[in-house]
Amino acid sequence: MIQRNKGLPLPLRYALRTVAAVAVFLVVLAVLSHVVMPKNNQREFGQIDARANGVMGEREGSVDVLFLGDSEAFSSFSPLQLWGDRGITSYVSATAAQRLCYTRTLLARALKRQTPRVVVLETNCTFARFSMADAARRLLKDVFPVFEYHDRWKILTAEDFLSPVRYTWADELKGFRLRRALEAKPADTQGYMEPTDELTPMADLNRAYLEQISQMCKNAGARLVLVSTPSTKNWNMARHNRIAQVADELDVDYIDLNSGSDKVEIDWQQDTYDAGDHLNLRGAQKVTRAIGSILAGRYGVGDHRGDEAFSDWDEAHGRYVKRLSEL
Amino acid sequence: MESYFSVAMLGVILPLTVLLYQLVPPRVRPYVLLAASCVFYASVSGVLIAFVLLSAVSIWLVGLALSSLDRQQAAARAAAADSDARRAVKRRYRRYRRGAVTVGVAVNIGLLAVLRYLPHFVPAGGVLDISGIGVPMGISFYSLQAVSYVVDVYRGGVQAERNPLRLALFLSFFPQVMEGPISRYGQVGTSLSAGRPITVDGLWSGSVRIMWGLVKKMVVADRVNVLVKTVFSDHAAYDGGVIALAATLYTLQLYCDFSGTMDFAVGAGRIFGVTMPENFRQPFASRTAAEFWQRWHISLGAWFRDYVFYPVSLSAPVKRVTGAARRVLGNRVGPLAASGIALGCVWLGNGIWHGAGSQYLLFGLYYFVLIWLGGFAGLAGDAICGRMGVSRSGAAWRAWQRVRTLAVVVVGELIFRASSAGDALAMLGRLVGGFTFASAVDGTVLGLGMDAADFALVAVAILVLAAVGRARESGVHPLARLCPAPYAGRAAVVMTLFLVAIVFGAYGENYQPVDPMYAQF
Repeated sequence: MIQRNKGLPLPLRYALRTVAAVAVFLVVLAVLSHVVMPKNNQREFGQIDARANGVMGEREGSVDVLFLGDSEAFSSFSPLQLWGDRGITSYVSATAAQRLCYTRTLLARALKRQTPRVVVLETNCTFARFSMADAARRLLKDVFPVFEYHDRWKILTAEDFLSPVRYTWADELKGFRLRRALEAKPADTQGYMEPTDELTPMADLNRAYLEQISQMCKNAGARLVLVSTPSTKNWNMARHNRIAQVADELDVDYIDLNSGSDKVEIDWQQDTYDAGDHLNLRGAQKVTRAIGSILAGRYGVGDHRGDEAFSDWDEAHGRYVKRLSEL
Repeated sequence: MESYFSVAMLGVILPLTVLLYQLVPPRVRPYVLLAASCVFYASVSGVLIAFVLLSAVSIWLVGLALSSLDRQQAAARAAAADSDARRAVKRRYRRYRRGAVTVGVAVNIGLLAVLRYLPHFVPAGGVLDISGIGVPMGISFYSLQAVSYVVDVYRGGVQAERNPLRLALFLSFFPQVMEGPISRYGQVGTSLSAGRPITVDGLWSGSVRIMWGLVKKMVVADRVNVLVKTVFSDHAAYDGGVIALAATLYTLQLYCDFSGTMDFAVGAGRIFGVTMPENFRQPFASRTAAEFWQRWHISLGAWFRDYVFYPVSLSAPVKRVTGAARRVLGNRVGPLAASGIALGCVWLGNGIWHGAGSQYLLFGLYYFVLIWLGGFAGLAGDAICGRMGVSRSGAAWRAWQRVRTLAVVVVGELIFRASSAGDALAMLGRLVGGFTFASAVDGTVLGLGMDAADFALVAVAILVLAAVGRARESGVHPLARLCPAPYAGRAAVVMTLFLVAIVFGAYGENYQPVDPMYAQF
């Protein structure tokens, strides 16, 4: 073999060696990725964004609605209230300041074990800018998790080298966050949703990722719905106009809870904890009631209450109600 | 600003440039480098690239003018009737040549002063407020290179370059434009424009050097960043022990960040067949502050030596002062005392070059006093030890000198990193008056952005750096030694270094990578 190689032209020999070296490097990266990956999806195991990734710990095929987005999403949609109101199983895979490149990652992770009927993408994150380098870094982390979990070298145990990766944990509130639940800080509503024909610019990269997300949902048989939750600070008619246009181009539904027939009557004196940026519990309850009605009515998402297979949702709902009563 | 170790540079700009460089004919290759440099520069500084090009045009014109004056002078001297006429010609043309070089220096130092320093001294919103323009990336570095070129042409050290694009490449060569090294045209001009083919050896040794820099930057410099920032931004909250720790870690951080970036510059240069000057030579092995500056940021020290120290020392007024000092104080102390004038100019310039903040002036003053007075102390020490018969060449004495110099350097870097001279003095006061190990004992230091594992890794990194430094002091470069190895060995070295950076690099959720530290100067 060595003799034969020596007969090859020098550039070809170098090319073959380079391909072999790169292949070895990629295999080593894959092995290291396995070693440093958290062996379960809990924070204690080193899982990053454990709450958003808790959807991977839900029973396979049990989640009918997946909520994606940034802090607007995890402040506005309460899956356990949705269960109590409508018997809809859902999960919020939302993270603070989420960029669409990460939204795509979370969607891909969720679709590995779940077959949601509807994927709700809260639209505030669709305007959050990110660079090609951010997107490349995200892709690198998805392919080789060592780039995301390398710092776990500090806490590696023998189990990390020997055990498979398992997902058994789901967030108690299914991704919803009770942040400053009962606090209220009035919002200034001047200019909020004032009519305009303007369109807020959307970066080409964001548009491309939205298209990818839409395609992934179609491939998975899920319906993508763009939803704008109420926010005086983050939402306006120019953004509404842009999303309406993009939704039309992607052939997906768009529901704006800030205006029009789907508008949720938010009391901006009482229903926000940070002057119109995010909703508090009262605001979230209003939004969840509205989205529940839409999901059941327009999209026919089924009621699993009374189904023995979903009794754990009843238990979780019971704990949720108790927790709210203790606030 | 992203460092050279960004995805964009290591994953796109450098590989594409290498590919394109190798594919085009040799005479086109320098232009590929120039185009890549312009793309890189414009991607960071946008339209401010115009200032680099302006500098290039200015030194090109001055070089041509000096060359033309040389030819005219030769013709005029040949036509001169007698020696008096020839002397008159010489005097006249010396005046012209001095005028030309002064214009070249004034334009480049003027641009540096206006763009870099003026915004610090004029009120915001005023007529002279030009802060909106911004500061072109690397202006402090390429301006000194521009000055060195015109002075070298004036002195006859290099030939005037006729192709302005070559000078533009000299100033803007992308691996060095952000943080140096401050190269001379005589060092890199020929190889930059030679269009040498990329060789397997060059590619490997360059890649190994870049990976070594990547490891220093990501594993060490970025890891200590949070602690250094935390302590320096709120120094009043910490005792002298924590301040000493932060100053020591900052010294290590600055070394790993800056020398790591130089590893990129030298490594990328090697790939393109360009030998960039080394900027570091085991600085922590120095036995005196003066020696430290011959090993640390070598190209800056050499620039000040050649273009400030010598010209000032050899100027007529200073020569007169030196002569007088020699007569009054003797042949040893006199010149040393007089050298304070040139040394003062060097350290004032060094301080100002780093920035307009008062801490940089204090930094310059600190080293001026240390090095100047160090000369007298050295003379006194020689005399005392000579009389007492004490050896100053033993291992213990050398070790003491190194520890002492390290302490001097750490204090210097503390001043350098402080927000102002006042902050620096306050921190030094606490270092001396409030030194305690209490924070280490009660575990406070582990809450400043580095956990026990981080400290352990930094300790290992220091040991590795010390071992590599020791080997290099002995004339052995461990990384260079690996380059003649067979393909598999070289690939293993590059991949291992890369994997070390990937696994042990301080990036991601819990870290804040440090911006290229010298890019701000």
